[in-house]
Amino acid sequence: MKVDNSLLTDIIAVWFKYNLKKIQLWVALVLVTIPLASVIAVYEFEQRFVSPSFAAINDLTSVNQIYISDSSVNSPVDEVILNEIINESDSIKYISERSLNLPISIANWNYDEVGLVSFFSGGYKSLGISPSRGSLKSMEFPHKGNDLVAAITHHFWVNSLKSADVLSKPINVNGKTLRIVAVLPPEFTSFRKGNRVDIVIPYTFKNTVIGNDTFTPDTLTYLLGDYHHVNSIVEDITPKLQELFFIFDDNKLNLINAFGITPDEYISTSKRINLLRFIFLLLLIYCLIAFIAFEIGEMNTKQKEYELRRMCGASRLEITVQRLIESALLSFLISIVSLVMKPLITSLIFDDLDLEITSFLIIIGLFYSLVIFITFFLILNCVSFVQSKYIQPSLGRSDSLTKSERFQAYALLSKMIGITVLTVFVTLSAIISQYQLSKVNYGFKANQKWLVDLATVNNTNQRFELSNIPQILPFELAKEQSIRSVALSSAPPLTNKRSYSEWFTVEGVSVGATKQTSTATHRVTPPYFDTMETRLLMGKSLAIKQYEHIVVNQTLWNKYFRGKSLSEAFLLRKSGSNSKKYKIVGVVEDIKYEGPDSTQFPVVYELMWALSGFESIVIDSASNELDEEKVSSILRAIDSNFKIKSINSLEQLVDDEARARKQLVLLTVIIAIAILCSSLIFCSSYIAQIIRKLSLEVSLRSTFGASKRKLFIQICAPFLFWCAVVSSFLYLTMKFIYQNLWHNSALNLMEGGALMYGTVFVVMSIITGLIFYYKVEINLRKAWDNLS
Amino acid sequence: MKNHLISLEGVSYSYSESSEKVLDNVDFTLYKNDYAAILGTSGSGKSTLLSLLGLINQPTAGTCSILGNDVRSLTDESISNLKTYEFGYIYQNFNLLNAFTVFDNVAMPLNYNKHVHRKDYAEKVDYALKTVGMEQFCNRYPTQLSGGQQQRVAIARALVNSPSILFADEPTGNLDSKNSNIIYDLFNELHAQNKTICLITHDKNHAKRANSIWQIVDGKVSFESRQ
Repeated sequence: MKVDNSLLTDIIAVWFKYNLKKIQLWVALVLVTIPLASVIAVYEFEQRFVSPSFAAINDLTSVNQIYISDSSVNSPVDEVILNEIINESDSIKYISERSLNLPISIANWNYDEVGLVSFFSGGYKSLGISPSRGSLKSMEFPHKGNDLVAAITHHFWVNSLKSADVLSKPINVNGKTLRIVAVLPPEFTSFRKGNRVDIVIPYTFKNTVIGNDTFTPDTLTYLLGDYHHVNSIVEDITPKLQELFFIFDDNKLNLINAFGITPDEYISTSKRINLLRFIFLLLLIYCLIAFIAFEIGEMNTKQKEYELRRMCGASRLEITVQRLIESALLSFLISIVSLVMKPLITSLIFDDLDLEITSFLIIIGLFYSLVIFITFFLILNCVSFVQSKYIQPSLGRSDSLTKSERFQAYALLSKMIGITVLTVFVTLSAIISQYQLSKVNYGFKANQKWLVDLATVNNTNQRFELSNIPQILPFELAKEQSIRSVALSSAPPLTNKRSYSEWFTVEGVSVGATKQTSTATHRVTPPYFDTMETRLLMGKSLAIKQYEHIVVNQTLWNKYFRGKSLSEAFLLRKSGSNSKKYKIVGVVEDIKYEGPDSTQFPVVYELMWALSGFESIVIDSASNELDEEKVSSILRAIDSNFKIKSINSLEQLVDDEARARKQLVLLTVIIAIAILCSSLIFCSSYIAQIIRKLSLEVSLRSTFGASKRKLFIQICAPFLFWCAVVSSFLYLTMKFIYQNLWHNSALNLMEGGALMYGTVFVVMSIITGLIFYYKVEINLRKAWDNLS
Repeated sequence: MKNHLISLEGVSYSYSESSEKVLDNVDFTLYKNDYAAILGTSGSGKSTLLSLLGLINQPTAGTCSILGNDVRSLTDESISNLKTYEFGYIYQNFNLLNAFTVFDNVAMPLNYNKHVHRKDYAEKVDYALKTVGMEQFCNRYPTQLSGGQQQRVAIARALVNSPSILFADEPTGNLDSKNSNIIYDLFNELHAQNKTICLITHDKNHAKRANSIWQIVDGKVSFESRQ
């Protein structure tokens, strides 16, 4: 038997003629493609988030970031431990990376400025980083005695050195002369996401260049090698490390597939991504069920058409071909709409994402469309098959639902309400958790605060410490009427500036985030806490020339001095083989240096005795503006070498830091509203369908004396029962998933979760109940029409 | 006045404010133990009249009273009770639920009868089905019955709560003459058992079986004859 070509043309033409005009179909298409596109957008965002393209690395499979974590802190792994790990296998190497602002000068080009220097161990070949000029061979894991070499970035070479021939030329970094051996590729900006590095120096030379420096928490550590191999080595060596270093009582070594981002950043972003993925998955399930329900309704009508065609002489084969063509056309339409929706959704959700269309993205887009086409083709044919096999053609006005149909209808409605309840609950939890974060005290007040960074030409022959600048500079600036207060800080919040020292308690306990890392030590001038409006919790602030006094933050105090008085609180600072005793004179509240959801480290504040040039001037202005010219002229009056590099509003930095959370909240609110709206529309139309199919029964029962209330209870009660069963099941499933598999999400579902879930369920039940009541009432008005 | 069961005085009815009146200034009385037939052509408003008598709809003008009480003064609960205990409805298209068995269809009105326990359903249903001669079809589905049998089941359903008034809207409209006669014989038997019957029909021969005949033309009702 053959299918006539004209019949095929006719089927396709008729399908387009009637379906393209259906507004309901378009609404259903848009509803189902939004979550599809959103899930893909989140996946794309995740891929871009972990992508190390900023470091010109093409292959991330061979590099694994390793960090050590305890219950509260994630920190890099000490060299001693890393050496133990690599001793286990010849194929594994470790990489350390740290970025610092340092003075850079190149005599031949009269270049003398502060630049960002990255200390990086090596492994360029394994990572696939090829220089645009020169060779990186001497940069691959050099030994301490080797020649001091450096590579410059392409950006630095073009902009600062005007693409001159610099290979083998000397470059001075922090007073040490190194030889330029390579220019890195143009795609390389940094080994850290968001940074723009000028010079890369082998990590081995770090101490030579910046002096004796201990291992700091802002260092990133990696293991080079196949993940599975590295992971098994790390797992096997853990008991040995426990014995050797006594560090693993509550600590754990972790491997993550992230390059150039700190574990904290990776974890907090992963939490948000997981939450988004969860919400979009719920939305997708919801919309898929709604779409299938819509299609089932459509297929009811189609069944009649097929029956009619059969009566007109259509063969089984022809009907089957028609079914396949129609489902293929609809699947095609879905894949096209999804393809259009994807960039729209991506730009809506991740407005800061670069949306450049590349051939790779086109291939991904086509692949994505094909997957959607095949998936929906299979779904639609399954639904069509089930429909034709088990469900009789549509029920008319004068009929009623069978028990199984009633069960199906109620079960479907219960599922939809259950998913709505779950989604609203999750979005509410997300909003609450993000709102709580936004309420976290940063430890300072950002309004009208400014951070002024200097492009300090810190000539090593003429250090600023010789001229009492830390005292003079704030004093001179504070004379300006529009400025309320001025202070200097070596590491103001929400900047990438860090400074560390080694501190111990008098009992010899190492003070820091972990036992292995040094302590965050911020040098400030006395009015720093007043300028930042940071509360002093105990004691007093730092005072001029009291160099043996220090102030500590609340985390440090609670960790090492809880229950003690200030008079007996001292810390020892280690410098080479000597140590000096400092008195803790005050305790200030914690300043959230990286935002409210980052780990809080112990911090020591010491008096600034010299200006190295990398500090920021913190200005509390009397107005919302800061007169850059005026500040600049005051600075020049103090020292003609002072040049302003940048001025940042602290308020803006806080806003930037909070943007991701605000985006998440906005997105979850939009999703919650979208789900609620579509849920109400779906419920309303679906309940109307149920009541319409029950119209005869409802009318008859009313003539038997059933009151409106009784009818409502009779119809609505089983639905509410199913709804409660489905919702409870979904809640328990979610709780299980959350507790066992998905603990790492930006939610806190366990605190009062059941109560909130119950409340959302009750509210949704009331809304659905009201819809039922209203529809029953409308039906009763037409009762006699249904019967006579 | 003593035997007045349901009275309509100056009753008008329209389905919406803007639409034409289906019933216009109607006066009608249904007496106790009466067998009244309302005769009219299609679209004359006879089914609408029955909906007012059966308290399904309320008149838009005029007064509808039951045992001398204005229907407007009755609560929803009182109307529901009247429908449960005093009224039985029979329709032209039977209105049986195809998804339910004969037993479940007939038992449905018992759901709203507070004086009958579930354990007594079988007895009540059996009695109602025996009255119409359908007791052997109790486990069948409506689609497995002929039109006449379906209507007898529908009558059994109307009788199961032992109502005092039966409203029948063209009960034999879908039946042949043989089955129609069976149904009207049944009505005669029920009337003989002191049931009040209000019959809507367009067939004069069927109307002749009633005690009183009313004529409805274009929404206006007139009394025709009493036997």
